Amino acid sequence: MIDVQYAVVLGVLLFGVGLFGALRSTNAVRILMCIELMLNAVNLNFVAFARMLPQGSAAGQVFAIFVMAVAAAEAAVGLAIILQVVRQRGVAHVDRINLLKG
Amino acid sequence: MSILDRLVLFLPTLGFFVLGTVILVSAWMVGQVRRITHAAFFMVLAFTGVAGVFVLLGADFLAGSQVLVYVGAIAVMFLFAIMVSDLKELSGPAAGSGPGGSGSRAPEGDGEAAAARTAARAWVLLAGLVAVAFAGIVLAAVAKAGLPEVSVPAASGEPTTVLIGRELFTKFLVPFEVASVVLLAALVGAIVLAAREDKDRGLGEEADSGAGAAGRRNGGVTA
Amino acid sequence: MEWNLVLPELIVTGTGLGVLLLDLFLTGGGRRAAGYTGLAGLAAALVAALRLMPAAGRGELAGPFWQGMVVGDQFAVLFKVLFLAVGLVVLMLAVDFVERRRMPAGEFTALILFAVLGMMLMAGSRDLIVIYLGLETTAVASYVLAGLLRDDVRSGEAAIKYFLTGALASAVILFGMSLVFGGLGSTGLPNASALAEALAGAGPSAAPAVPSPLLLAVGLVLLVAGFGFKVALVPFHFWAPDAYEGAPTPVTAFFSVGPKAAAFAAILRVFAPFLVMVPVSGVEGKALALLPSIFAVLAVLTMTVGNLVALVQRNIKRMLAYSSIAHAGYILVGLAVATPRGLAAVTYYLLAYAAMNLGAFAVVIWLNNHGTGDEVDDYVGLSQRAPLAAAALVVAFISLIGIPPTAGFFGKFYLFMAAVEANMAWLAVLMVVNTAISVGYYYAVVRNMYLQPAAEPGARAAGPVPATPLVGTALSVTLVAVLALGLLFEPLARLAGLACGGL
Repeated sequence: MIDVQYAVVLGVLLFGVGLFGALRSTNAVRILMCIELMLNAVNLNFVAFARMLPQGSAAGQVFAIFVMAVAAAEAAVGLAIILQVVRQRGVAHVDRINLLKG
Repeated sequence: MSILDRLVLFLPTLGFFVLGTVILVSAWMVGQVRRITHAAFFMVLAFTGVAGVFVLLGADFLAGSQVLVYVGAIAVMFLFAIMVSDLKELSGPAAGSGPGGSGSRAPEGDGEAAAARTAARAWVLLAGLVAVAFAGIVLAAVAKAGLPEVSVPAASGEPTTVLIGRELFTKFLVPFEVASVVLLAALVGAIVLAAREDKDRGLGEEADSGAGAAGRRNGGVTA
Repeated sequence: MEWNLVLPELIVTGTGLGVLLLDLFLTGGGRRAAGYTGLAGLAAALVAALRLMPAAGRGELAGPFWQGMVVGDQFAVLFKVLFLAVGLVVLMLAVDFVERRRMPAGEFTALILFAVLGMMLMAGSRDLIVIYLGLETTAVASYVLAGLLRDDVRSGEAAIKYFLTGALASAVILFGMSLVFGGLGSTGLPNASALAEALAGAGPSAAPAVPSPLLLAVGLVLLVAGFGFKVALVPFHFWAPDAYEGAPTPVTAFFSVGPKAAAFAAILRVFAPFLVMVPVSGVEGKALALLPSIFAVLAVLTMTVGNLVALVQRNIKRMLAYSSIAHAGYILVGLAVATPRGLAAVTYYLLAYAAMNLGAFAVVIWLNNHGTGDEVDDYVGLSQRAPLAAAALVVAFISLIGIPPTAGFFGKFYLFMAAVEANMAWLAVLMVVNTAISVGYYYAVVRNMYLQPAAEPGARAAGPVPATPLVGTALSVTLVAVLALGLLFEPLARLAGLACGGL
């Protein structure tokens, strides 16, 4: 038996780890990976909350499916943008992106 | 209750904690390992772990989609991108670090290097603070929120596919159509950005998939 | 009625698909046809949206449509009209620019259309799923638009920065939404009256109206941070100047108005019920009561930093980027006030801001099309070279500063009054101080145009600057709107009040 709260806690922790990775990384590809992990954490939350709803609504799971679709779209566009920058400047520059520094 | 029964009941809990540990450790490694290819493989591991948790939560359809979309499509796309950019780096004249070195490369000049390293450390600290503050606040809220305690047996009965399918095409029809526009916009955008040749020069056709475009550039680099 | 309600969205989507197909058959100079098709589609959608206005005003469209996924209240229709108008003006400004810089015209037009579609969905739904998908439609299209100058390094840099911060912001918004979902127990947002009703009397229903207000409150705070990224509020603004400077100028004009206004529409839609609702007791109540204070702090930070940093900018696109950050700060004043009048002031200000900022960008694009650079120093002596452009820019700046006959003045005045009425005079005073600071950087450009001698050695592109029909039309439309929105302040303010009343 698993208490659904544990899944929410796992979601929060995973999101935190992903957030830390995204903020500290300087490589665009790695930042994008961390963002994908954060989206996974959100999906964990949605599924867990959906289980708690009294009427057993599917809304949470459906939301998670949409998040997956959007994550795929975002990753495709993001990698295309990264490849464009690689073409323009070489990898060296993609390595020097720092989100916090702006 | 016999010991065997207790064990069977305990197994999902054990599985959950094992999976949780795997997920968190691999997610941590994604941000930390030196080589970007290794980061990608840790990412795959985390995705797979999340799929396992979905199974435990009784979301079988989502678990399947998770494997297909994240492990199958997104991770492969990442590996493609890494391959392509590393090839470029090896063949390009720009002096670079090892493949996928993550910002550990110091700029020239000793003083500058030291300053850069200090600044980098400060940013890491700040990032850590932000993440810890976030997790702390939200966890405190979750703990205080008084969520209903719902236990999920491992095998919670009928599959969710029917329910999700019905909801997706009735209640959530409008979002479903919008999602198709998101995907179309991403498709068009990825092609237009990644396609190498200008249409005006008439060199190549652009009606191709993103992976095809990446492959073409791959050829262009070695040529 | 269901189909009529989504007719503008259907037209925009259909036109986007049509443009993509049409583009396959276009070559060389014929590429402009893609832009014209897009313009026709947006105009048709605008007509369709305007035709919804009377019915929306009578409240006939308020009911949930499409299983509660789409609402057609006055707020939704008003913002749809605004977004379609913005799309129309931006596309008019872009056609020449796209051709001259050899950008892919078909894809550009289609992406603008998809972005406008996403913006309309953000304003036109009360369901978190649709709001999120609308947000992402706009965002995905915007990331690509920023990078469409494929040979320009700065464009690629703008795209990558915009993308990484945007994706991070989306993840934070999504996490906030998941908590709101957990707190509310559904993806549908309540409107203010329903929420107040549910909270006041526990009601006949046994189930609590809001199962977990604390989760809801934390989720809302996260949404503030996420949307703060999207509209470039100050601790989250660092990406904006680079993205605005590097992106193609018509796209910059679009970013500074379109997605920003759409994000504010979503903020109003999501937060309004909780800002004006009956306070809940306990920790939850305190967390929810914190929201206006958070908005107030962000407002002060955003307008002050935006204006101060704008003072030292030498590039006009960068300056306008900081100026637009500052304006987001003014808009937040209305949310910090957290009264119905404050929300109405936000709505009116968004209309005014769209007109005046697009006017300023129209001039920058017009001049850029004829070889004038984007540095403030390139505008030296402009009043002799291009008197019309210089005069138009002055009008736009007058409104951006907030000097009387223009829409900008009435927008600030409305916000000011809302703040004073709500006993937040200190915020109103800070707004006035900031307005005074902002005169500095707008005036620097005006001084360059009018008071510096034109024939400096090395001044380039000394020829006259003719207007092309499209850019000329777009500029006239925005300037007329700047004046008309000011003159029609009374009815528009009433409309904004009615629109926000239904939130």
